[in-house]
Amino acid sequence: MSSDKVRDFGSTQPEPDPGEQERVEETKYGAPGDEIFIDEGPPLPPRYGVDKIRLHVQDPTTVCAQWELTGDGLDAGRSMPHNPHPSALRLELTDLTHGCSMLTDVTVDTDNWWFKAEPDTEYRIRIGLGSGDKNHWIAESNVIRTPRNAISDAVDVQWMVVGEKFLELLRVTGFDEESFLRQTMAGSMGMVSKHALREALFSGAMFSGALLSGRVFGSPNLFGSAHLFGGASDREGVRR
Amino acid sequence: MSDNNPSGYLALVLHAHLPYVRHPEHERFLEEDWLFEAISETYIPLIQAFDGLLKDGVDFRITMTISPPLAEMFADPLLQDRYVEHIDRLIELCRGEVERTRHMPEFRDTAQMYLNHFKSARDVFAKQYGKNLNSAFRKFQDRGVLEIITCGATHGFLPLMVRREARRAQVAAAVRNYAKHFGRVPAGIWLPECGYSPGDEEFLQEEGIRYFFIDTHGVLFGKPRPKYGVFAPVYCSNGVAAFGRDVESSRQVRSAREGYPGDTNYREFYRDLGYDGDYEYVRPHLHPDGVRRNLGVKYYRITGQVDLADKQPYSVKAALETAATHAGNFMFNRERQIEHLAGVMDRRPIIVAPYDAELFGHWWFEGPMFLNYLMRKIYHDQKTIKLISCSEYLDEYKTNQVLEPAMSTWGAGGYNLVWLNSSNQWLYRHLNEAEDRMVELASEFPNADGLVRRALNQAARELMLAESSDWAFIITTDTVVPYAKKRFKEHITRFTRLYEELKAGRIDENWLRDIESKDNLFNEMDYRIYASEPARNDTSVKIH
Repeated sequence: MSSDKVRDFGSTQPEPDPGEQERVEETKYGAPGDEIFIDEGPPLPPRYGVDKIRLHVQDPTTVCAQWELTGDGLDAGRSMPHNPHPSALRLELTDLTHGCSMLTDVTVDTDNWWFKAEPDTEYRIRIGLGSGDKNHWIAESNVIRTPRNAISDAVDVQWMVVGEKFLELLRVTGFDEESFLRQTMAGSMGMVSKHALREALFSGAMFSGALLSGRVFGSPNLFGSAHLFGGASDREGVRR
Repeated sequence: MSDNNPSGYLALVLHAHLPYVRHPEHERFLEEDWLFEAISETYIPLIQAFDGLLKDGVDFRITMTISPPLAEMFADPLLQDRYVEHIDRLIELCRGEVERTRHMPEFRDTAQMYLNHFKSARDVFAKQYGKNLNSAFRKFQDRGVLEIITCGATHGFLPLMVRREARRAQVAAAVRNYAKHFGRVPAGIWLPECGYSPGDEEFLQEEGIRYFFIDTHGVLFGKPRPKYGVFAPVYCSNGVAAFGRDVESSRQVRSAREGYPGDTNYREFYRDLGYDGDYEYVRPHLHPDGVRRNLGVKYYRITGQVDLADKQPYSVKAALETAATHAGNFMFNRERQIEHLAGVMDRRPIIVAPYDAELFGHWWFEGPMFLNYLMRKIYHDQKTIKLISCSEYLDEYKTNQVLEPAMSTWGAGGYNLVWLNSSNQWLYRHLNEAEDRMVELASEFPNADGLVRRALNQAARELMLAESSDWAFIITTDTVVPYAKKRFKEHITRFTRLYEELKAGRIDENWLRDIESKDNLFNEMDYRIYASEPARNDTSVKIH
């Protein structure tokens, strides 16, 4: 079973553009010209002799897999009767939330892979050898959950928020379009184009007129669904 | 004078952290200057501001992280003595500068300011607080005006630690270290890089921590929807509180473009005597390699969008007047913000304004004076807002909404991009494997003593030092990359050798003693904080 919810980016990504926080913070570590030595330290262990694959979250729509496989693990796979392809590794990224998966074949000298993912979704990845629809899995990763990137449509009955007031709180928070895109992954990872953002915001389908006269402060994903002020939760406040 | 019945509250939060940098094997070491510069430009000016406020009877509140590596460096005799040598060199330089600029009216006041500044810094450090700045901050905490919170033990970035035991250990070690330096359990924690993943609150609750901070979208994307946005804390399901960052107050202070630090009257960070001065004149004050670097003596102001060569002379008086104006503007904006919020909330809102502490003083030279003016103005000049600590707010509002905050950080993009990208992803295969191995060691040696125990404790230290988020950050921002790589590799290779020696039952005591003397933080370390948990789905497993 495959899915169009996940796609892979390959083994490299564009270098990130540090934000304002980073530009200020980096000054406390001196400056590149300060360095005189080119000693980058002792060599790291090239391998640990394990069959392991691990999965990491980069942001709501990107996850990264890293692995190490031993010769023993690979030899065992290659000896399987269905004769898997000897020069490729097979990755199976499984979307545990929606119950679908995607197969990707990579060269044996690769040791990491980036995947496009869905927000608020659980994933696990397996690695092994495969040929056609026959697979021999060697290692399975930890389970991760990508972050939510939207305001929840669940509302707590005991902490009910009147729609207009919630929108006002968001405005006071400073969530105009520009700051939202800067402050969250929505903009920098291209989840939502500004055009699509404005289209959705001004369609009138999702928001009240009060919002339309205010600053633009979110993405369609920001509100998750059309049930902006609906839904309920059985969560209650606690007293400590 | 600020009112006892304010419309809302402002929580100022400063996150003070530097990685553990200590090189006894060298007489002078360049990267130790990170600490020395921050002491002179940030920590001591803050201490002076706090002391002045107390002396003048100003009732103020501020929250500060003192990260465990920073607390350990403050308490380290070698670094204490080296700071005195460092400040003495600067005082000597500035005595020369006062003489050199005697007939240069555009510079002489600034030269005198630096001489006074460094001399008073030396007095505060060596005479007033006995070379240990922990005692200064502890004093303010004991006086009830400062709430010191902790951080991850070595500022390890929790969202990318696969093993729960590794995340738990960062919190547990931090709390033990805090108790050593400040004599109590911390009320709050600054999660390194403000990096939170759902479930981390378990470790905080286990250690008696009452609250943590989270970036704006961590609260706004919480489930269910937060009734008060970021203007009231929320409880995680276990009762640990999360306070969300206010975007507007952050932007006003933090942004070099839109914020106060970019004002043309403020000191220009990138114009320094170390580069401007005649080489033979500055040479004795540079590091032994003789390479020109910042000395911390800067005579120019930002001026505007001009080349560095066209910057205009700095005026202390004009800069301080500007800082006072900005403090007034910041207070005015918070008053309007609170008044506005009071109209849409049925409780007193809290604006949480967290900043990197080193922004104040090191990057924004006038920043400590801005805070000084701000706290005085809030106390004397208005009645709308009051400064508060997060503990005090939780005491006033014990009932808060329960929700699950969303995973978030305060880095660019709001998630893990800064600490996980193509330039630094290679760190994690080593870190994650070392974390697995440390948990394995803690299981294999549940009650070690003697030499084995020392080796296990040192293995825990080496792992934690490798976990410092600073290394991944430096690689991403492309600043002092060779040093970051060297440090990371040294700690991983030391850990790996300890692991192998422990597994083989052959510990080289001489070598162990050597690395114990170099990586000497956390003498209270107990490796058993890595004790394994029942199997969950957070580990990689071999199939077949």
